Amino acid sequence: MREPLSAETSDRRDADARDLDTRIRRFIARTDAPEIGFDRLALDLFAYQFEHNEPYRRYCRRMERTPNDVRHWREIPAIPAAAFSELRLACFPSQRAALAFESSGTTTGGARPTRHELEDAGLYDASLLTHFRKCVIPDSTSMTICALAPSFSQAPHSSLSYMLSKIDDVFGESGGGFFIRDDALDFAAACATLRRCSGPAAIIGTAFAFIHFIDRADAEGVRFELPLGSRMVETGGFKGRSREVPRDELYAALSRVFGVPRVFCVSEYGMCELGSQWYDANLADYFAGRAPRPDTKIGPRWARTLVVDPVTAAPVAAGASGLLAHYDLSNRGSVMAVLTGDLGRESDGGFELLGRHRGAAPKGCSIAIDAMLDAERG
Amino acid sequence: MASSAADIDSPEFVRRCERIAAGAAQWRDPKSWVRRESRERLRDGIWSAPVVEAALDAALWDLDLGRATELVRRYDRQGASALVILPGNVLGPAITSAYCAAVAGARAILKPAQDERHLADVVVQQFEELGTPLASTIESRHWRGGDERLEGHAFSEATRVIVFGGDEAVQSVRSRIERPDRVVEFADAFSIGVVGPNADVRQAARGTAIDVCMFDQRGCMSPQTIYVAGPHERAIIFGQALARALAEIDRRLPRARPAAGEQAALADLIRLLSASVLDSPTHGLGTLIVDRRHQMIPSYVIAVEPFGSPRCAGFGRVVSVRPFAAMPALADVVKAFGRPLDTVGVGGAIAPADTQLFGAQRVCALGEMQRPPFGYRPSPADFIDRNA
Repeated sequence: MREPLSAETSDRRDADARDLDTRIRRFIARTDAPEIGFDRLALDLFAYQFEHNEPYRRYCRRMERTPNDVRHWREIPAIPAAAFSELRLACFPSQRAALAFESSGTTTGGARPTRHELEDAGLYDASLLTHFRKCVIPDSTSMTICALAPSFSQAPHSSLSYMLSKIDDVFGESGGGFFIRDDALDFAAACATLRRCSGPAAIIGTAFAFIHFIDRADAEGVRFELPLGSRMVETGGFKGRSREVPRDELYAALSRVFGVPRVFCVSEYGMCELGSQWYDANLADYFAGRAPRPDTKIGPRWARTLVVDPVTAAPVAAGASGLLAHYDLSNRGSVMAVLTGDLGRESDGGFELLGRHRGAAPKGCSIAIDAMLDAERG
Repeated sequence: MASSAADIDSPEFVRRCERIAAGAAQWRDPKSWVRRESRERLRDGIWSAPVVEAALDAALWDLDLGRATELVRRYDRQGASALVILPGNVLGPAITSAYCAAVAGARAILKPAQDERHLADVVVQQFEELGTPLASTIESRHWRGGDERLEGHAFSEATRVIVFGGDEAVQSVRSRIERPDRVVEFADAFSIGVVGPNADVRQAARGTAIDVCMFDQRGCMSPQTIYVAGPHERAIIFGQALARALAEIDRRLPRARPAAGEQAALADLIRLLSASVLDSPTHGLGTLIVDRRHQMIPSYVIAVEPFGSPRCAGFGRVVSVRPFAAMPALADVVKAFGRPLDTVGVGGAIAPADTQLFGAQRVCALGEMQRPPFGYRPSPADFIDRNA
């Protein structure tokens, strides 16, 4: 058992945290992303997390990488995302947590929920709002936000609900709202809100919520012609909660039901374990006058992604597929380097998401019927 | 057609018992034709030859004439017809299912898994050779997954559907059967080992190694986590003893051919375990032991972790070892894990009242976990038509 931190050590930790927060916020506010600045901050953050996050320190030592050995951010050991479901990965005492996000564990394949504690919501907010603005509403300062997700008050441990509530607070015009209540889609209320929209709206929801909405709209013959400039943001996959639909089919259905062109539909990629999010580049490209990159996810300038070999965790050759390892400065209070179970490859200034890594061998008595189901799924 | 309860001790009854016992004896005899045939057919499969032999030795190890007579007398009924959807992760259920059907006087269709389709064929051939009353009572039927016509036909023929599989898969089968009450399911479950305070650590480690190596932790009766009574140091010493035992037994029961993606999955898990294991008390006593004798993939992985929920890797000879202080607290974390507990393998003397706390299906000695008695899984009772 570790001794409680002395007052002096605790004060020094607080001072270091404040200093890092200030520097990271300054970096977030920049319009450029100098590699040298990112590297300097990342190495300082690694040293801080190594000192104050005991399970992470143990992990780094086992990986034989300490601040004394690491010379570049690419060498910082990335902890498996699944570790967030097994260990408290925080640089501060639990009573100091301002927010604690939990997810069901579907991203880790484990039975236990993932938990990510934040010491200060300010850095998280700066990160999510800045990148959302750049990727989703680069042409505007506000619009009506319709969320096919529960509000943060309904889901107080959901990072997605927190994010959407914050986005609504800062960028939302009056007249929007949250339309998943008590785990059910309030279809009628969502339709009424969409019909009232007189200006561009951002419809944001999980894939499974959109599927439910589309099924209902198709069944009832409901169609919308949302005002010009409206956009759709699909957040994350299906996570076993509804029938799965191929991505192109989903976007075709979104265009059909909401009257929003494909180039105005983007997918967000994020996870409970990370403070930052990634978005399809097409909308930002469109407003910047570039050729849209609908299959490329772009991250914020305060984050970097490496594609690594699933066995060695070493970076793969450019264009090869592998696991995504994210280095996210906004994860100041936990671990900045997180190795996910997501497969991707480098693509045109970002990465292309290829799905979940199916590395695990078959287990339990499931092979017989899994084979049956696989055939069924085609 | 099966004999009725009124025919007990009739020549037909005696013949049935004798044929069952004779057939079971063939499975226990390494020189028998069923063993030769199975060996030949499984030669290019994922399991090493010694593991195949050990699995076949264990399949019907206790089904002698006395046991067969007792069971036939208890279960013999009219009219059941069963469909058994077999697993592919272990060897043996095809054989035990066929003999359960024989004991119950049932007809059965065996639907083998893609990964292990041979033993069902061999046992069908054996029943033909054994003659009346076993001949023509079982059938091995292969079809590609998702073939609704063949699947629907098999479902309609069976009054009982016995399914081995993961929760989601079992649920899927259940949803496609008109009367789900006909389904007997063996879905997701896990097993653990418990090393008592007075156990000989080296002996317990040797028993654990046998249970681990039998099916490389892929089975429901494989010991995923071993809880060791006492302080951390005792768990670490057990981990070291287990490493030695696994290294030794690896020569007798070599590891299966790795599944696709297993190397990456192991690498991922080892990274995770690197964060979760206990600190090593000395340089020589590691808490994460990864056997690197083979270049491509570790033979086994042992992680000595703090007291907590079971870890169920389910592949690759990965074993979690955790210390525990008190049996009630251990039973609480195991029950709170939320998945059905199949078998508890015990090292040393542990009071039955303590093992009952776990609510496991079965309690046995470490080293015996992969050798359940005949009728444990499935049971002849699963093949009886309760509506008849």
